[in-house]
Parts: sequence; C-alpha cells; structure tokens
Amino acid sequence: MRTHALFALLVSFVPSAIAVFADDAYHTDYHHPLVGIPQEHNTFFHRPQASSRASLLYTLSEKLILGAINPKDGAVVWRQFLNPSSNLTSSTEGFLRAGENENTVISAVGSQISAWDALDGRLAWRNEFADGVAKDLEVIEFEDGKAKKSGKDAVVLFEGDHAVVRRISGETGDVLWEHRDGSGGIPHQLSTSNSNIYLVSLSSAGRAGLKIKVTSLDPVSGRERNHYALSSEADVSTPQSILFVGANSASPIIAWSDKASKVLKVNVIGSKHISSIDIPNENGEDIKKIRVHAPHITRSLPHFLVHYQSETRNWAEVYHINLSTSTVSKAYSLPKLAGPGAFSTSTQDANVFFTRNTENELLLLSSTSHGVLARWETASAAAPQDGVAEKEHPLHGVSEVISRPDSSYAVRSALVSSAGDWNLVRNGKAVWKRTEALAGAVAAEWAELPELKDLARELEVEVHENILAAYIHRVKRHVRDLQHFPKWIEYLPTRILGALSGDEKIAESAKGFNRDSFGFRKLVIVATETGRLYALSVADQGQVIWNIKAADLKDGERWDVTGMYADNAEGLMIVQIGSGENIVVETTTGRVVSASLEGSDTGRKWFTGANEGDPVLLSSGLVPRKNITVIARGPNGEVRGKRYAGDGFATTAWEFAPSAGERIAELTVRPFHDPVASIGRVLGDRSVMYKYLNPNLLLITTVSDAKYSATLTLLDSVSGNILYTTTHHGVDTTRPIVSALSENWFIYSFWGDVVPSSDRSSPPAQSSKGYRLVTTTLYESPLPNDRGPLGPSKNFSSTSPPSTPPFIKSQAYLIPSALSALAITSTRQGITSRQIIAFLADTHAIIAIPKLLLNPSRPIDRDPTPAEAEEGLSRYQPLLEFDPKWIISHKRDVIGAQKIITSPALLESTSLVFAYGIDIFGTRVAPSMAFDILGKGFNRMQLIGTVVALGAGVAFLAPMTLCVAGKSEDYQLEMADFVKFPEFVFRSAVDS
Amino acid sequence: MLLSTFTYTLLLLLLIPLASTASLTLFIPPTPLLPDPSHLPPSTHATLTTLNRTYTAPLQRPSRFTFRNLTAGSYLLDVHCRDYAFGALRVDVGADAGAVEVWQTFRGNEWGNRGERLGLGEGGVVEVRPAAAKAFFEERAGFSPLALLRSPMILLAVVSMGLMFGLPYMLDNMDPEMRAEFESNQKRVTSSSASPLQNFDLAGMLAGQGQGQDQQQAKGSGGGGGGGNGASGGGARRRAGN
Repeated sequence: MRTHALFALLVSFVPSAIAVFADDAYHTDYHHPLVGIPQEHNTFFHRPQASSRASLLYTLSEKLILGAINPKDGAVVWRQFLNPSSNLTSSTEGFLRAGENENTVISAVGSQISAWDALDGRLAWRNEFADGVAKDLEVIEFEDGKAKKSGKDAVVLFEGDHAVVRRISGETGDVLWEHRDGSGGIPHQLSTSNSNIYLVSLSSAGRAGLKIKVTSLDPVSGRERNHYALSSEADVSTPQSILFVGANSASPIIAWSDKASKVLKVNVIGSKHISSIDIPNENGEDIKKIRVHAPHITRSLPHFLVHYQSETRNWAEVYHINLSTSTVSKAYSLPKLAGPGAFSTSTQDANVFFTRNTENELLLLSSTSHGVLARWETASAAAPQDGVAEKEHPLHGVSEVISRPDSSYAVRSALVSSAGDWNLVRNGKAVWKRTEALAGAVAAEWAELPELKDLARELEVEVHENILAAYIHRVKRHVRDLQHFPKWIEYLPTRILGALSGDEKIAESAKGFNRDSFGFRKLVIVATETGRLYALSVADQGQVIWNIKAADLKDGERWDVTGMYADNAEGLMIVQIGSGENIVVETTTGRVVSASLEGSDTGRKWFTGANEGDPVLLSSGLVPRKNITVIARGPNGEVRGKRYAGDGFATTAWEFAPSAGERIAELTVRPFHDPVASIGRVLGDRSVMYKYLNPNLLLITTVSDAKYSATLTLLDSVSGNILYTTTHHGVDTTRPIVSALSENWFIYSFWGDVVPSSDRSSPPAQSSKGYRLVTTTLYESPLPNDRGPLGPSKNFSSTSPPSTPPFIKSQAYLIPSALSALAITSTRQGITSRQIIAFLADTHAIIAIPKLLLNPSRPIDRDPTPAEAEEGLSRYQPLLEFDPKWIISHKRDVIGAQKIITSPALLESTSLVFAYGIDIFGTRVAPSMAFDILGKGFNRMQLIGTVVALGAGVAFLAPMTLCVAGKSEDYQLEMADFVKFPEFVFRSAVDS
Repeated sequence: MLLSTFTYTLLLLLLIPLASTASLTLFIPPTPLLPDPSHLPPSTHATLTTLNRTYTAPLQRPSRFTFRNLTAGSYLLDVHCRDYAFGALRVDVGADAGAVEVWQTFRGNEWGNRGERLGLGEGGVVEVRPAAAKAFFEERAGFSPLALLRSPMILLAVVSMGLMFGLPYMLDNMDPEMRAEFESNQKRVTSSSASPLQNFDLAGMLAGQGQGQDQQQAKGSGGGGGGGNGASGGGARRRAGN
C-alpha cells in the first residue's frame, strides 16, 4: 500500500514539476503572433460594427493567414490560418473582401469560400466546391429588390475545367445561382457595377496574344446578358499583362499597357471603346511598374490614379471617367519624386482621396483637384542600424482618411516596406511596426553573446609572467577597472532593487549587451525566405536587434538556406546557401564578413541537398575534417555516407536506397550538443543496464504511399550497418511522420489507422485509430550488469562493430493530438532529465512531454514492483493524455511552427527553446525543475523579514532569560556572563 | 449555349442531394462548465480524421461546427480548443446516401469498442460537451501565515512556549499542600532520572528483584541528591530554609 502511495506521489510529482508558473508566463516566454507579409489587394481598413466608428485592419497575407489587426497598437485581434495544406510554400491564391457596413469579411482560398465575423473571427458560414479553385471574389454592394437580408451576397469566380461564376448568399453561404462559361477562355477576374456582374476572361487569339473578353451577367438570375471582346492581342500576352480590372466601383475599368510601356489603354467596362493614353515619360526612363489605384465603392466618384515607377523616380496621373460617354480624361498629374513611392486610395462618402507615401513624406490629395490637402514629414520609423546601410522604402499600403469638420484631415496608412515590415503611420508619425517577414523563417540558429570581460584572458597573462610583472599587470588592470566604478555605483541601487524583487530583468539590464551569468541571454539568428537575416534577443522578449538583407532574390524565389552554423569563438554566423556559397555575418552587429572560413573544423554532419558530384561541401568553404563521414542525398533521394580523405574529395562509403515504391520522408541524427551524463541506467536492484551510446546514429524514415506503411531504419552512419528496423502499417503518409534521436533512445510519431488482419478469423493487426508515439531505447545487452559483446573494452568503434546488434526496448502510446517539429531539450551536462518539445498543430500550442514517462520499461498489465517504482516507472497505459500543464506556450495561440531548436543555458537545469515557422515563440524550460537557481518563488523580502523577526525575538527573550536566571539566589548573572560563557560553566561545575 | 446551361443546371440539381447528404453538424450547448460557448476562442475547430483524409471545421457562430461533403468512412472526431478539453467521438459515414452515425469512443481502446451511440438530433445535429477546462499554470506556494501556524514544528513551539510561561503561574496559584506534593514528586523524578545508570543494580535485576526497585531508588535518591545540578541543588536548599 505504501508503494502505491509512493508511486502515486511520483506520478503526480512529474507533471506538476514542469508546468509554467503563472507569474513566469508572459515574462520568460515571448511570442510574435505574425500574419505574414500582407497582400495589397487583400488588405483594407474596415469597421467590424456599423454602429461603431472604430475600424480594424484586415489582411489576407501571402501565407494565407487572415488577420484582424488593431490599428491603434498593432495587436492581433484574431487570426485564422487558411492554408489548406500544411505545405507553406504552396502557391494557392487567396482573396479577402468586405462589404461596406457589413459585420463579416469574406475569404476565398482554394475551393473554400468562408465568411468570418469581423469582430471575433468566428466562422459565419462556409461553402466548398470540388470543381475548381477560386480566382476572384467580389461582394455585391447594390440592392436588387430582394428582401433585406443580414449579409451582402458575394460572387466568386472558380477556375476548373470551366470557369464558373457563383453567387453566394451572404446569409447562409448557399449558392443562389451559378453560371458556367463554356467558351474555354482563361477566367481572369470579376467586376461588379451598379447593375451588372462582369466576367473578364482572356481568350487566345492565335499566336499573337490574348483577347480580353467581357461577359455581362444578370445579377438576379446569373444569365448571360451579352458579351464583347477587346482586341488586345497585340499588347496582352499573359494574364500578368493586364494591369487592373477595376472591381466594384461605379465605373469599373480594365487597364493594360503596350509592351514598351508607352501607351496605357483603358476600357470602361460595358463599352467597347478603348481609350489610349500616352504614358508621360519625357526622359525615356525604363518604367518598372505601373499600378492603377481606383476606389472600390460604388457611390464614389469615378476617378482613378495611375502610378508609374522607374528605377529612380515615381510619378502619377489622375484621370476622371465620363460616365455618359464612357471616356477617360486626364485631370492632373503629380510631380516626379525621387525614389520609390506607394499610393493608396481611400474614400469618404463620394469623395476619393489618394495618399502618396514616399521615403520621407506623406501627401494627401483629393481626386478632384491637384491641391495638396495635407502634408506630413515622415520620420524614419527605425534609426538605421550601425553597419547596415540599407534604405527601406514603402512597397504598397492602405490608408484611411478622416476629414474633420474644420476641414483638416487625419490619415493613417498601413505600409508594407521593402524590408518586409508592416508599419502604421498616423499623420506622418510611426505608430507601430510588425516584422512580418519573420513569418517566412526558413532556418534559425543560436548564437552566444560575447563574454562580459576578457577576464580569463587577462588572468592567463598573469599566470605566465614573473611575479613582479604579474603584480604590475594586476595593479594596472585594477586601475583600468576603476573607470567602470562610477557606472557600477550608479547601477547598484537598480541591481539591488532587482535582486530584492526577484525581477532578473532589472538586474540584468544593467549589464549591457553581454552574456549573463545564467546563459539566458542569447541571440537567435533567423534566415527568412525573403533573403533576410534577423537577430532576435532571447532575453528581451525576442526583440529584433538587427536585420539585414543578405540575398537578392528574384520575384517569387525562396531563399534556399541549407544550414546555419555559429562560430561563437569568433562571434560569427555562417549561413550556407543551396547554391554552395555561404554568407558570414557578425552575430552582434549583422555586418557581413565576406571572408569564408577556410579549413574550419566544424566536426558537424551536414545534410546537403547537393546533387551527385564530389566534393559535396568544398565549395561552401567549410572543408570537413579528415575521415569524417558526411551524409548526403543522392539524385534519386537515396542517402549516402561519404567519407572525406582530407583533401576535400569524398568516396561513397555506403548507400541506403529505399525499396521500390517507397520514399525517404525524414532523416534524423543525434543533436550536435548531446552530452551523456551516465553510461548506464541504474535499476531498482542497483544493477545497471548499459546504454548503447553511438555518436553516429542515423534514423531514416521511409514511407510507402501505396501500402500506407512506414519503415524506420536505424543506421550507423560511419559503417552503414543497419542496427534496427521496424515497419508500421496503416500509417497516414500524407501527414508528417516526425522523429527525434538523442543519447540511446529515439521517438517517432505518426497517424496509425485500423489494419485488418490478413487472416479473417484472427483479430485485426492493429485495432485502434489515432496518433501514436513510439519510444525506443537501445542497450548494449539485454542483461543488467553486462556489456554484451563489448565486454570490458573501453572504446567503441563504428568500423569494427560488435557482432550482435544492440538490445532494443520499445513501447507505443496513443496520443490525443498530432505532434510536429519534434525537438529534445538540451542542457549543458545532460544531467537534467529531458523533455520532448513538440508543436501541436491542432491546438496551436507547444508542448513539453517529460521523457521519464516515455521509458519503454514501464510494466505492462501489472503495477510496478517497489524496485521499479524506485526507478520512477509507472504502470504502462496505452493512452498518453497530454496534461495541459505540459503546454509551455500556455494560453498563447502559436500557429505554423515548422521547427523547434533548443540550446543549453549555463545553468544545468535550464534549456532554451525557440520555435519558428510562421509565429516566433521562445521560452526556457527546466525539465527537472530549476534546482540551481532561485526562482520567483524565493521571496527575498520574506527571508529578510524572517531574519529581522528572529532578531526581534532574541532581543525580546534575552532579558526574560536573564530574569529567570536572576530568580535563582546563587547566581546574579549579568549580560557579561553570557559573553563569558565558558567561565560561567566552569563556575557552575566548581560550585557543585 | 442555352441548352448547355440547362444541362449543367440539371446536372447540378442531380448532384446537390448527393453531396449535401453526407454532412454533420456539431453543437456545443451551454453547460455548467462552459456557460457561454460564444466565449470560446476563434481558433477552436473540429477535425474528422481517418487514413489519408482530414476534414476541418472552424467554430461557427453560434457555437457549432459544420462538416460538408463527407465521403464514406470511419472517422475520429476531435474538437481542438485552447481552453477546454473535449472527448473523442467516432463518426461513421455510410457509403449509401451518406448515413452518418456518431458514437462515443475511448482513446487507447479498440476502435470496435464503441460507447454510447449519440443520437442525431434535429437536422442531424450532435451535441459535444467539453470534458474539462484546461489549467496551464502552476501556482506558486506563496507565504501564508495560516499555513505557517499549521506546521507541526510551530505547533510544538507554541505548546512548549505556553508551558514555559504558564507553568510558573500555575505553580504560584496552586494550593500550598498540592504544591509541596508536586515539588516533592518533581524532586524525586528529577533526581531519579539524573543518573538512572548510576543506580542501576545489575545484580538485583538479574536476581529478579523487580519489586525492590522502588525502595532502592528512594535510597539512591538520598545519596544522589548532592550530585544534582545547580538548579535542583538550589531547590533543595530553599526547601531546607523553609
């Protein structure tokens, strides 16, 4: 019974030990809830409640995250991740629209069209169509005689085998009508006017180019009213050639230009007339970009602005449309300004305003006349970083204009900068900035901060000199140190206050940008797909310290970072690019050091995506150490062990090719920093199971999509020997199968389904459905106190391995949620027990599962014996429920984490965790509790209070003792007698 | 053109009933644990999962989840929510005309081991209820004076303090005879316990003289009186003065 109690105590102890403390939450952890870089046509200000004047900023980003941002402080109000596939690189188009005064926003992504409550982000309705993907979405603003409903209808254009236009009820999401376009043209866009829905499609006109075809549809029935074609084949060759299809305004237009960018052609939809406008370009500059900005509201004035951007300058012209004749006339032109600029349109009632943002000013113009309504100098939001001479400029933006009764104006613009930041500028003042480019993080690595002082180096000097020289050196050093004394004194009260309140931030902030004594202050260098590098300070809530543009990428190209390596001794970060080159930057400043590190000995195994052809890594400048085996991928996905002779050339030592119909899903090696504190596991009877500790383990996951099976193979990566292999059936291969490997154990997780037995009479081979987690441990032999074939030998060799494979112990669990991005906590010495950190994609959380529970020696179908209970083993339960206390991201909503990296702190108890992908999340965990640091639970004030109370107690009791002693007739003790205590004892003894 | 549109419409009309039959709606009713389901975060969603197929339904106002166009199969239904944990359900979608059946299921058990069948309510709506609220945080054991008082060490100290201060008063207020008796008792106890080993008569014990022990002790106390410590010696002297 007592063992039961002990066992219960142990089990209850484990989970509670690792939970996040309520007062640590939001202090030790940090989170950047990102939405990704906003798309210009899917971003707008909108009032979620028609009754309230407060508006929110809505966007559907490149990452297909629908987000509502509070324009006051840049905080996320709600987000929805709309990417239908887990593959973030898929190029699904998305559309986001909101009807005027509507309390919903409508999105169309892939085959789904959804309406979301604008205020709280709940789904209002959703409809799905299997026959195509959404190409365009518009909200029908006009009333068409129907009874007043709760939501404005939407029209969606789907592209599949045919172009299909559907009108979707704004109330329920049901289809009101649909129109199939059998003409075979390429559907391009939709446009609505006051009475018509127009389908703009492109039809091939032989070799010459594309003709623009406009089909007019009846909004009530969806029947085709008429159609006409515009002879644009000379100018339009691809759908991208069309600059603009004016959506949803009183007079929608189609605009395109000729190939030489000399003439702009505009058609007011509904008429067949094409207006040709000469593009003003006296200097004959090469126009890079033409953008048309027009209002999106039907009752606004039919004006539009054309923005021209050349390499060095930007300018614009404003045109008015004559509604009766459907002709276009120029109203005024805006001067050429140096540098890039961004224009945005906003409306207030019928008035149309254009906002012009350049690098250093913000201009507000009315569409009716060229007079500048308001002008603000825009102070550069961020002071330029030292060492980084990069100019940010606005790419595009949206604005909201409010005209006050005293005919002054207030403008706020949300601008996307070339650096991938999203800035809100109100009346020329930067209000907030969101680093949205971080949502495209592709790689990240830890970097140490420089040490506080080179004290160790100085002391070394003193050791090696003679006594006199060393003494002089020391005196000099002390005199030199005196210059820091005033500063030290100045910070002393702050530090004491910080120490008393237990707030380490106050105590640490005094030390400047240096490593702290706990090793909590580190940098994470993040590489993004946009070719930028960011340095985040882990101790300062993940704040961006510097960011640089490290690579020039073409449009739509992703930065192919294959690896990152920190050289902490030199303070450098080496970023390896798939093309073979590498970029070396200083970790504290972001300055690019172009020199590649010749002959650097990293001793690390690289996975490269390099094609066949030796040498694999020589071009990267990181020449591997002699006789090291590098794991490379062959041209058909096979895994190869390549052995380096030392001259940079490699020979293939072994090759692992998946069997027919299989593909390699994942490769896992032991972490670079993976210290082993104990070579054995002590059992309850004091015998020892020796761990199979091989530094060259490689776990390969191969899957067969046709057979729904996954095979895990454990290899010795030097010899290529297979140590262990296992196959699971009924595996969902479309979902990620993740694995992690450390010390002498590995874990992996997958979706396992019911597998019927081949023999009908026997029970199914696998009878449950759900996510599984399998834990496997390797020992040298199945017997305790026995090292098996290794015997008493001291060294283990991969090249002459023992004849028998390691002893394997394995157990599987059903888990309630899918795991992805597996990682293992890493501490300095590896003494602390480990946790498995994983991202729960379903619940948007990051979890830390104690490894102690995943011990494959847990007794099955019986309670543990006292000896087993002593080992910390509990009875095996097939279901491993996730305790909410294991969730280290607690209430935060983390989405899209792709990878988690861990790093040891200087304190053995603590491991730092950093997750990236879309959101950035970081924290620190103490898997065996923080045993080497006084946490916030240690109340310093209470300690002082106790000491004071004890002192007071002594002061109160001492006279009383004297009083009691004084009552005795023999000894009139003085206070001095207590001081002369030995004498007092002596006197007593003599007297007796 | 017109004919083709007509054909399409006809096709669509044929398709609609087929597609719309296999659908499932879940509803979160207000429960004592969750009185207002409209406060659930917008990230709450439900998934139907089986081999190589997943359907996801975000939380829809007012607090329901809708799955449409389900294909035949046996699915595991999970409701994922930041603040509440939900139990798992088994959803079987029949191959013919999309008959949907919902069962309770138990994770970690055989898939065939179904629990209670949950009836499809009006319009095929199944109620799902949260099982528990998620508690993420660990509260620190803060300083509490009451807990301090409850600790046995403090209780012992308080009792001994009470004796220390209370006993002299009790002695002073005692009846003089009782006091004399008490003091003599105390005297005997202290002097006998002063050196029990000294007076231990091994031979007597071995001889089985258990009865004679009292006498011996009384005799021994007279001899051991002088060997007492200062305090007891003082007491003896005071008594002598009386």
